[in-house]
Parts: sequence; C-alpha cells; structure tokens
Amino acid sequence: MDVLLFFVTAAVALVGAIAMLVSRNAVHSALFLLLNFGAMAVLYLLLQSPFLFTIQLTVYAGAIMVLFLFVVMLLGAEQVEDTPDRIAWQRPLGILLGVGLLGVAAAASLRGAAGQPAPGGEAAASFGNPAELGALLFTRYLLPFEITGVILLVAVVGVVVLNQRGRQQAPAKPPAGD
Amino acid sequence: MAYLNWLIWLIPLLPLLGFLLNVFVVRRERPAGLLASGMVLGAFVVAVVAVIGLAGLPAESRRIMSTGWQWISTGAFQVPFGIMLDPLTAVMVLLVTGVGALIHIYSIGYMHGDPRVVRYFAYLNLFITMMLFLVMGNNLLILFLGWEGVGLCSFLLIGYWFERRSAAEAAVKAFVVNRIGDAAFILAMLAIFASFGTLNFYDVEIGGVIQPGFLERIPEILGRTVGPSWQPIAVATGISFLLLIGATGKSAQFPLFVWLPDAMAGPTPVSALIHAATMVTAGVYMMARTESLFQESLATQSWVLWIGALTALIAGTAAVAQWDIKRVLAYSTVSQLGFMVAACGMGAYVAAIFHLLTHGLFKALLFLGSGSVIHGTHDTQDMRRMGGLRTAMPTTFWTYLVGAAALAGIVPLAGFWSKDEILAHALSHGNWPQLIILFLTSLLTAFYMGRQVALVFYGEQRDHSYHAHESGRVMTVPLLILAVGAALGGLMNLPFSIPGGHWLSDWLNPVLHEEPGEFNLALALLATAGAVGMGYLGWWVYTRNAARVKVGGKDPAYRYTGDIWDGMEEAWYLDAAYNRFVVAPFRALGGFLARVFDPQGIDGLVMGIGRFFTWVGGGVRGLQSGYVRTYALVFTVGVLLVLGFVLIFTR
Amino acid sequence: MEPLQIPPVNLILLAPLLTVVGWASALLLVDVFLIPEGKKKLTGYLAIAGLLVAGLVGLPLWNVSGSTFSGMLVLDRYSLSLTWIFVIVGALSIAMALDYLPRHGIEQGEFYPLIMFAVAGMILLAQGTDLIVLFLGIEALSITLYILTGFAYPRLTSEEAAMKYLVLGAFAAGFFVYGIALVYGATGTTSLAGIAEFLGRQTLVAEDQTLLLAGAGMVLIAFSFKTALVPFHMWTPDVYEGSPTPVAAFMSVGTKGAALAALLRVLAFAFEGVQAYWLPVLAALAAITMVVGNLGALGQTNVKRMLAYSSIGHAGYILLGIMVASERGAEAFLFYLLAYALTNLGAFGVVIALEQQGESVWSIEDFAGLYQRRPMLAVAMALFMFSLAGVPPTAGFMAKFFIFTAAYEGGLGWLALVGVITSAIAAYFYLRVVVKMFMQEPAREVQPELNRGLNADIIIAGVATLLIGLVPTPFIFLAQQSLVALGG
Repeated sequence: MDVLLFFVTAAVALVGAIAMLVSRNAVHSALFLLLNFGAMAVLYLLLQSPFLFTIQLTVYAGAIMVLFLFVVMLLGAEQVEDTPDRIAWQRPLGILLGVGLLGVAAAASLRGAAGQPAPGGEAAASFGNPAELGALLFTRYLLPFEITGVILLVAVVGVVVLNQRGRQQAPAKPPAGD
Repeated sequence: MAYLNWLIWLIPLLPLLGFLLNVFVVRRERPAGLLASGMVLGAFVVAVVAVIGLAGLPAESRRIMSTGWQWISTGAFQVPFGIMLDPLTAVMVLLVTGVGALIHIYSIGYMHGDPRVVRYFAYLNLFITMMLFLVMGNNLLILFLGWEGVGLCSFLLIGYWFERRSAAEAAVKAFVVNRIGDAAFILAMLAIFASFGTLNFYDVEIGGVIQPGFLERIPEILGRTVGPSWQPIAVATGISFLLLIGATGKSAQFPLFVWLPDAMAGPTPVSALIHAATMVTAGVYMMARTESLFQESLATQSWVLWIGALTALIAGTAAVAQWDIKRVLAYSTVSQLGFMVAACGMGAYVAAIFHLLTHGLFKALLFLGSGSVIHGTHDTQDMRRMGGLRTAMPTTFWTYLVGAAALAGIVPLAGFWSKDEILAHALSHGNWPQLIILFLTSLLTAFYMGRQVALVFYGEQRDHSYHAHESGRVMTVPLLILAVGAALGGLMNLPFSIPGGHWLSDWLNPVLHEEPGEFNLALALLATAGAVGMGYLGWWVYTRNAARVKVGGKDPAYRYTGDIWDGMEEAWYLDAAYNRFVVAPFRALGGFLARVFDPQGIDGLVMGIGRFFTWVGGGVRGLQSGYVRTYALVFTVGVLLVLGFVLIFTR
Repeated sequence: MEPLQIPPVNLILLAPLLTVVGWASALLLVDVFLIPEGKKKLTGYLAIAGLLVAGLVGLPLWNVSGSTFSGMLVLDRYSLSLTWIFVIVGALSIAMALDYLPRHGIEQGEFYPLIMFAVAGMILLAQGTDLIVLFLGIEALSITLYILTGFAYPRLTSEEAAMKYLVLGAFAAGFFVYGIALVYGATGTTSLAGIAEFLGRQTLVAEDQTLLLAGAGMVLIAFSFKTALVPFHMWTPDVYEGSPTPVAAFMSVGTKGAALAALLRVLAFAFEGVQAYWLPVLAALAAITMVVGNLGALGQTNVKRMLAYSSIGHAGYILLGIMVASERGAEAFLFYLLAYALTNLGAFGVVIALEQQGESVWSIEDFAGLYQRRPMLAVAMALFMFSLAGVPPTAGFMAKFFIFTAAYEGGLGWLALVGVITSAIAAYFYLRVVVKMFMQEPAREVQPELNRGLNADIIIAGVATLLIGLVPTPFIFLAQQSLVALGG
C-alpha cells in the first residue's frame, strides 16, 4: 500500500514539476508548482514526518504560492512573449547535462544506500516529531536559529532599500547604462 | 674596516634618492639632469672609496656583508635584506656607476629640449639603483629584486618615445621575452630553496646566528648519500639549467635575443647604458656568481657553451647585414654577450668578466658615438644616408675609431686582450668546435666594424638633407674618457707574468676559482692578423664601393650573396618564426577563450540588456534569458566533472 | 514535558561578531530616525567606527580560545586574525563609498549597515565549525551582497548583475545544502569535528563512503562558486562590472577571503582523512583557474572586468596555500590574503577616483597620461599593479613567493610551475595599465576625483603594500602565531 501510494505521489510530483517548466502561461505554471508542492507534502507524510508535511503545506503551498500568484497577476504577465532565442543550441546541451546531473546524483545516493546503513544523527530517533524538532532548534541548533533571524532582517532591509529607490527614481529616466 | 658596512649602502641609495627627488620634487630639466648625474657620480666616488677599503683587506677576507634588516624570517626560511661588496661585485659596481655617470652626463646634452626629460632622468636613476642591487645583493632574492627592477626600467626607457609606434611595441616585446627568463629564474629560486634551504650566496651572520649560504653548501648537499646516486647531479643540472634560461632572457642569448635589436628604439644613451654596458650583462654576472653550481653539472655547462657560441655566430652574421647604425651595434652586443656566455660555459669565468668589463667600456663608447652621429645628423640612423662624416665630426670619428678597433680586437686595445683570453681558454681546454666558431665570429666582428666605419665616416655624404655638426662638449668629453678606457682597459688583465699582470684574475680569485688563462702567442698573432685583415677588408670594400651604396638601396655584397644576405639581415628569421609559431597561436587561443567564456566582454552586454527588458516586460520567464543560462550550463559541466571524479574513484 | 536545557553559551567568544551585528542593527535605527537626509555620510563614519570597535574588542581575546554553541562556533587566533582582516576590508570599503554614493546619486544610509552585516557573515565563516553555520554564514554574506550589488538600481547593469548573482548563487546554495544532507546521511553529524572523528575510525574504508564523498564534492562546488574558481566563475566579471565599485572591491577580497578561510577549515579538519579525493579535484580547479583567470584578463579593456579576472586568477594562487594544508600553507594563505586584500582595495580606490559621474565605462583609456596629471595617483596605481603582478619589493611578490614555496615544498611542484608561468603572463596586463599611465598622452579629459575617504584608502593601501613587501617579518610572525591554536 505504502509503495503504491509512493509511486503515485511521486509521479504526480514529477508531472507537476515538468508541466510547470513547459507551461507557457505563468498562472498555469504556478498552479502546477502547487501540485508539485502538494505531492511533496504527501511524500513527507509517507516518510512519517508530520511536521514537515504541515510546514510544506502552510509555508510553500500556502504563503509562497499566494505570493507568486499575486506577483504574476499584478504584473499582468500571464503570457510569455516569444523572444528569439539566441542560444537555442544550448537547450539540448542543457537537457543532456541535466540528465547527467540527475544520473550522478542518483548513482551517489543508490551506491551510498547500498553500503552499510547510515548511522543517523540525533534526528533519527524521533524524526519528524514537532516537539522534539522544536526542542533541538532551541538547544543544539540555537545558533543557526539566531543567525537565520539576522539573515531575515537583512533580507527585509534589502527589500525596503531597493524598493524605496525604485519608487523615488522611477519617474526619472535612468541614465544610459552603457 | 667597520665603516664599509654602512658606506656601501650609500652606493645604491644615492641614485635611489635621485630617483625619488626627480619623481616627486624636481620639475625642470636642468636641475633634474644635474641631480641625476650628481647622484650617480657620488655613487661612483663612494664605490671607489669602498673598493680601496676592500683592497686594503687581506685577500681571503675581502667580503663585506651588510644586512639592513631581516627581510623574510619564517621558520627555516630566512632572507636578509643585505648587500655585499666582494671583488666580483666591486668591479661590477665600478663599471655600473662609472659608465653610468658618464652616460648620465652625456644625456644632459643628448636629451636637451625633450619635453619629458625629468622622467627620463628619474627612470635612469632608478635603473642604476636596481642594477646596483642586482650586483650587490647577498642573496638571490635581492638579485631578483634588481633583476625585475632593471627589466622594468629597461621597459620604460625603451618605450620612452612612446609616440613612435615601434618604441611602444619594442618595449612590450622586450618585457614579454624577458618574462620567460624571469619565470625560469623564479623556479630556480624555488628549487634552490627547496634543495638547500636558503637563498643566501654565502654564510651571513645575523645577530650571532649564522645563516648558511647555498654556494658554500653545494659540496655538503651534493655529497650526501641519501637517495639515488644521480640525484645530486640532477638537482644541480635542473637548477643551473633554469638559471641558464633566466640568463638567456636577460643577456639576450639564443633563442631569446630577439628583443635586444628592437630595444634600440629607446634613446641612444639608454642603449649604451642598459642594452650594452650593464643590464644585459646581468645574466653573465649571475652565472659567474653561481659558478660553483654550474660547475657541478657538465650537461648544463655544455649547453651554456653551445648557446654562447651559436649566439655569437648568429648575431655576428646578422650584424654584417644591417643598415641601421644602432642595429649593427645591437647585434654586435648580442654577439659579444655570446662570447661571455661561451666563456662561462668553458669555465673561464674570469675571462668572461674581463670581457664583460672591457666590452662595457668600448660598447658604451660606440653607442655614445653613434648617438653623437645621430645627434649631429638630425636623427639619421640609416647608414646609407651618412658617409664622409669624419670631417664634420672629428672627435666623434676618432673616438669611434678607437672603440671599433677595440671591439675588432686590434692590439693593444682592450678588446684584444679580453677576447684573446677567451679564445686561449678554448684552445687550452680543447674546445675545438667552439674555438672555430668564436674565431670566425671575431673575424666577422672586425669585418662589420670596418664596414660601419667606412659607411659612416668615409666617402662622400650621400644625403644632403641635413647639415652634420659635431656635438657639444657635454657629449664629447664622456666619449674621450671612454676612449681612454677602451684603449687601456686591457691593462686590467695582461696575460704575462709581469708586475700588474693577471691583476683581474688575482683580484677575482677569492670569488672565481680559476687559473689564469695561458697566453698563446700563435693564436694571438693569428687573431690579430685576422682582425686587422678583416677590418681592413670591410673598410676597403665599403670605401671602394661607396658610390654603389644608395639611399634605400641594396648592399653591394647583396649581388654575390642574395638570399643569404636577406637571411642575415633578418637574423635568420627567428622573429618571423616566433610570430608564426608562438604569437599567432597564442592570439588565437586568447580570442577563442574570449569568445567562449566571455561573450559579454565583446558584445554581450548590449544583448544582455535587451533580454533584460523582455524580462521586465515578460515576467517570470526572465530567468531563462540570455547568459545566466550559459553560466549555469558551464557551472553544471563543472559539477558533473567534480562529482563524476568522486564517483569513479569510489565503489 | 521537561524544560529545555539550553547549552551553555559563552558570549565572550563571539564578542567581535556580536559587536558588528549589534552595532549594525542599532545603526539601522539611528540612520532612519536620527540622521537627516543629506548627512548620510555620518552613518558611514559610524559604521567605520563600529568595525574598528569590533576589531578592538577582539584584541584582548588573542590568548582566549574555546568553542561554544554546542561546538558550532570557535574562537581561535586563526579566526581572530581573519576577523581583523575582514574588519579592515569592510572599513576601507566604506571609506571608498563615502563619496562614491552621493556622487552617483545612489546614497542611502542603509548601505553602511549592510556592509557591516556582510562583515558579520564573513566573521561567521571564519569562526564556524559546523557545516550548517558555514552555510548560514555564506547565505548571510550572499544575501547582503545581492542587495549591495543591486544598490545602483535603477542602473541596468547593476540590476542585471544582482539578478545574475542571485540566480546563480541560489543554484550554488542548493548544492551546498544537498551536500550537507549527504554528509549528514553518511556521518550523522554536521560538525567538522564530528566528521573528522568519523573519518578517523580505523575500520573505515574511504572508497565505500560514496555518500560522504559526494556530499563533500558538493560542498566543495558551493565554495568554488563563492570563490569564483573556474568553471564556477562566469558570474564574476558581470557582477563586478555591474555593482557599485566599492561593492566590487569589497567582494573581490572579502567574499573570497571568507569563503577560502572556511574552506581551509573544512578541508584541513573535517575532510583531512579523504585528502586523496579532494586534492586532485582542487588541484585541477586551481590549475585551470590560474590559467583561465589570467588569460581572460589579457583581452579586457574594461578595468573592472580586468580586475575581476585578476581576482579569479588570484583565487587560484590562494588555493595553493589551502591545498597544501600544512602550517606553511596556512601561513602563506593568511599572508597572501592580507597582501592581496590591501593591494586590491587600493587598486579599486584608484578606479573609483577616475570613475566619472554618471558613467559606467571603466575603460583602460581613462588611465592614459595619468602620470602627467596626478603623479602621486599614478605612482600609487603602478605600485598596486606591480603588487598584483608580483614584482618585488611589493607585498604581492612576497605573498606569491610564500605561496609558491609552500606549494613546492608540499609536493605540488607542478602547480607552482603553473602559478609561476601564469603570473608571468599576468604581468602583461597589469603592465598595460602602467603603460597607459606613464607612456601615453591623455586620451580625453578625465578629472580624478579625490576626497578624504578615498585618499585615506589609497594611502593606507599603498603604504601597506610597500611595507609588507619590504618588512614582511612582523606580518609573517602574526600569521604564524595565528595558527598556534589551530593545531596546524
């Protein structure tokens, strides 16, 4: 049952991801991404990680997705115009390299799994338990937690700074950049 | 003689002071020239005092080491910022400051009225400083400091008249070719440090601790029994071969001599100072200094010998076929440097230094003389446009004649004695092939000097578009002084067992362990007869056929030699070969790299912006626009390579 | 549920870091509420003061060492020396920006605290001993730099540079995270000491550790991106060209230095046991980085792009010191970093002085005839160029010589050879700038704009470049002392 569920969900996730890439309408892309996020959340659940499941749904499928859709609609950029692709020859090369990357990554994880079982760290014991995870975040991983706070502060400042400038000077034509 | 410890610092620091003042303070021509000349003259006086002090010491303790401060000090790696004065350095310092001072004074007249003359004197002072560090450094790193410094000054001075395209190109060429030698030099330093653990030439005592010198550790290192038996020889060969490459760059030896003839685009006093008397001899000096290292490797020694002999011959033939008065001298310089290098290869280091000193005197004289000719004929350098100048420029003519005779090796001028010592050495050591090559070259030398004198000073003036005049006193007095030096320089090392004979050999004996060369009367007679004969022949051919030398025309000898003459004129097409096989492929590679890896650098930016606008308008798909994708592609290739490597080597 | 046991935290060990972060946060507020528009320079001065205070705070910690936050952060002399270098880099970059920003109409007070945050990220990289902390350090630094790169918005090149940097940076960050995950999967820990312990086990066969090695490879790739090693370098010229020049100066020395410092710790500590795997990879990267960086600079006519390629090449040289992973190597690394940082900041200072208002062309032609107009400036620039090219007696020569001897002794003779040959090539394009300044007539009227901050920057950099070249011993001594506690 679990295996069946896994394959179905994984297939949905893959389809969502590929469809998002090839879709020509930005809103469609976003919706396919949502599909992918949802499937991923189910995969987390299959891995018995309820906490990640919730986070995935609320943060990614919820907050971030809504933001994406807002931006797309505000810009009115649902449709992508076709611009001549000057470096079209790179496309097959890119696909080839992507497949290669996938192969290397798969080989690494398959071979790694074939060896002795992974030792597993402190998370293995109670993986996915929100309470345990929270406790770890405030004890052992206190420092990364704090640093993340600073990073977020910086990001917020950055958004404000760049946005403010754009507003101030938007009317004036920028000087020729070259 | 404690005063020598600080006195010798004045020798390089006085010109340095002149340089700094000329860069930052002095703005007018006259004070700049006087200051620069005064500083070098001061350095010469100090050097004389210091050498007299040095001579007062017993022979075995004639080595003054003076450490300014500990330059590098990290664990085993100790390098002092120190200079020294020993017999070898002493003669070099006297040559550099003495000839240097004369050329500075000469420059006051020669460069008069040039708009950037303050800069000229600043560069010249910096050059003297660096050259002094080169010959005075008590370790390889200081030597290298000077080595790079003189290269830089040479570069700046070759390109001094940068409005002339040829000057700027010649400067770059000199620099690039020299870099090859410099890279080899750095590698040699790394190898010396790795093998000997020090870069000092000799033991230095600093703060009661003796820092070893590699030249004195050679027997001890090479005598060790660790490792395979061929290892010491391999080490010595590797290091000395790298040093040899360094020397071929700086001393313009085959196959790196191509920069020196072009370097004549610089002002003539510069050619005299840097490209004849001092800088180009740095390679010879360096080989003499590290003589004991070269002696350990027979392989390198034979390379040195062959490179020197071949360079002498190739450049000698090229000098015969030149029309530019300075290019004749330039090829002649390369040829004479070949003599010195060949002497080093034979182990005749005293002979090499002897020839270096006499050559410094008479070649400086010849260059300054040619400068006087160029000055007096209003920037004429083509000998086809000269002729008959001996009446208009008597002082220049007579001094030039002395220099030419000295170079040709006419008894009893300086060049005869030094060249003969090298030939005698080749004879007594049985280096027959090289002896023959060098002998032929000395015949060629006499011939092209006879040709030059005839073309410039004899016959009728072939081009009347200028009015030739003698140069002023400030230029002719240095010529006279140098002429005296070129005439009497041979007295330094007369090959006879009379009082004062072998003076240079004895003086250098503590540094260069070499028995004085044997005087061979037959060889000397043969060489003299050959020199006189060929010199006269050259003179005779070109005075007799003076009427057939036309402005822009071919040489009278061209009729008989044809293609060979063309080959000689182009120095056997070495330059063309470099352009074809090195420069062109390198350009192509650079262009290829630029196209593949840096499309933005050429025309990409505009396109990038165009794509960017479509992104702003078009929204989300911008991430696929333009070059980011290319970058990510290359990135992915890198990822695949790195991870692929890891996976291949794991199970 | 029992109460949480927060592990003991020794704040003294991160005093400089806390000073920088705290000061920057406070400065954000001060800037908004207390400093009026048009006097934003004051913010800059305050930021410089903050960095200097952080440096001073570090002084009494010279003899302190220890780790805190569950072993995620250490303070040792190595990190302290790096902290000082970063503080100097940050302060000099701000000094350069003081007049640059208003001159180009992009002055905003937030610029200065942002630089401080970037410095904090760099210090974090120097102190971190856990892959997660290192990742966060890199991210803190990167996000700040994305913003700073785009600071000249709406100038298109700036915006485009920020975009490219962001996209590729995110790409690289993905590899870092994935690499950490794989390493964690293999070893069950992310701490450097834990990984080292895991690798130190007797029974371990390195060839079986595919996951670990693949993870290490990915971490390496992420670091390679940050330090712009070929082929992960392609963003560098565009980003340097597009970003405001003080930011480019800051990035060229700061980011690289911090990432390499962290890389040294990761390789020398955590992955020492699998040196056989990363050494050939890094050696190959270093070799092509030196070659491509220096060849790429040959054809550039834009000084900023030229300096960008030059910084790529220099990263290759610095990598030699890291690869040797011996005491000599680490020493040479620290020394090179200091010498290169000061020289490069000086060179960028001169570029800023020549940068005309409202222009974004940094043509090498603008250097033509500089000696005639501003002899001092030209001499200073010549000094920096010689130092970058590695001509004695400048700092750059000493640094190169150290790195090459360390590499030679460490058995990487062939890389030293590549280094020597490429630096012989490199001299050519550095010299081109000198040729322009001393051997050409001015092509067009360029009025060098000098002011207090820029003057200070150029003078400090120039004096230091010469001083380190002539009297390197105290600096070497400092570098040696820095490694005492590293156990190197």
